[in-house]
Amino acid sequence: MPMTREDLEVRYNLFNQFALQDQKKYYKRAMSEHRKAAAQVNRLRAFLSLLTGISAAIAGYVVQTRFLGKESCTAIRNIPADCGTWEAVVIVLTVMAIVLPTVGALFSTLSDLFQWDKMISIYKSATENLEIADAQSPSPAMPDDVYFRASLRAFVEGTLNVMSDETAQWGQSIRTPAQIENFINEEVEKANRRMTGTTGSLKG
Amino acid sequence: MTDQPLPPALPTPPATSPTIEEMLADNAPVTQEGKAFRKNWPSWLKQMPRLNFPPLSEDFELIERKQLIGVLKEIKADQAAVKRVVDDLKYLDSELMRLFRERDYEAKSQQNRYRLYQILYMVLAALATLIGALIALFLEIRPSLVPLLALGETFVALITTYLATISGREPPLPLWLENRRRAETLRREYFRYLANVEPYDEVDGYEREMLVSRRAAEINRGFFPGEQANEGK
Repeated sequence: MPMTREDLEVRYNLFNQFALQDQKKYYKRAMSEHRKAAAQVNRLRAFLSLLTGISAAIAGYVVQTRFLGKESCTAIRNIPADCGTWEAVVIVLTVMAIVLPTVGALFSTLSDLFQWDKMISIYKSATENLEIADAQSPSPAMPDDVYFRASLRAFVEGTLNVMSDETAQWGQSIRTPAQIENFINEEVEKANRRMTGTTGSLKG
Repeated sequence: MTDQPLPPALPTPPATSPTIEEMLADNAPVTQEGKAFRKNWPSWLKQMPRLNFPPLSEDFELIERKQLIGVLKEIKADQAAVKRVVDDLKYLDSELMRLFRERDYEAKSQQNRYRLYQILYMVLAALATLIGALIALFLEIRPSLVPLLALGETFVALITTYLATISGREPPLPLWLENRRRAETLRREYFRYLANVEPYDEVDGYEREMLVSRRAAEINRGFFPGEQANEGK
């Protein structure tokens, strides 16, 4: 038995509210969160690069002014009293210039893992396509039940197709960052080599 | 549509519940994730994996009852039509939602596991790079520290091998993607049945119910009705 016009209108409203509008909300929220996350991580990376540059520049300046020349910390006679402090400063700055880019690289890999920009592009396209599906929504003012039914069907199928396409695109975009895969392979090889080496020396 | 009272199947919302406008203005989509989860954290930290993953929420619904009542009141729905929708929702709850909840939960759990491993690898990779750089630095100024750093480097390699071995059994990435695909297909099937579009518009009564039960079970085992390429065929 086909559904009545009242049935179809109730079902249209529920589908519109809980499938289409909910999906739009999801895309909107996900895009907003991903944009913020990508921007925050980018700022962190930029800040770490800046700190690395500053550390390296100050270290270079200290070395030039305190460790080069006749009355510097490397001189044979008349070594200044504060050389120990300056040496410590140079070591700290050098360590910073090593540690900070490493942390920066960690954030780069994090971006590759979450693929925020790619996700934003997928959700943006899906949101635009949902608007196309939404444009086919039936109107309660439609006098013809057959036309209302056909319009509802086009609206529902259009929305479900967008959701299906988005899931497929999302699934294809999820990849383990190549740098992590390379790292695992190298470390496993390294561990095997060391274990083989140790076992070999014990045997020998 | 007539302005009739709702059938007894729908409970009356408490007096303190938000208005329909407030409910509909809520920008949070329906999800098993709590709305207050890491609320004030930076966005990138919000997405980090959890160390203790919460248990499955047995009462999660794709259509929250309070919101449903709000929408039905708003549109002044016909009582007989509401009764049929409520019957459909009850049937979906018993036949499809339990499968959806399990698949959705499993997908989230495997996603968490996958990201946790990846982040651990990233930290280990950073540590390996750092130790390598420090060895190069201390080789000149503090050679006595080099054996200690080399020991650290060996530990990093061993921990990485250990993680690669334990994550190699039931790798989380394919399980995450497979469960997510099934959960999303079940979600679409739920709305397909509710909106009564193909193939549910061609059958009625118990046949319609049996059809959704069969299709949900097929999706749950990785067979997607209407798709050419099906996994696990």
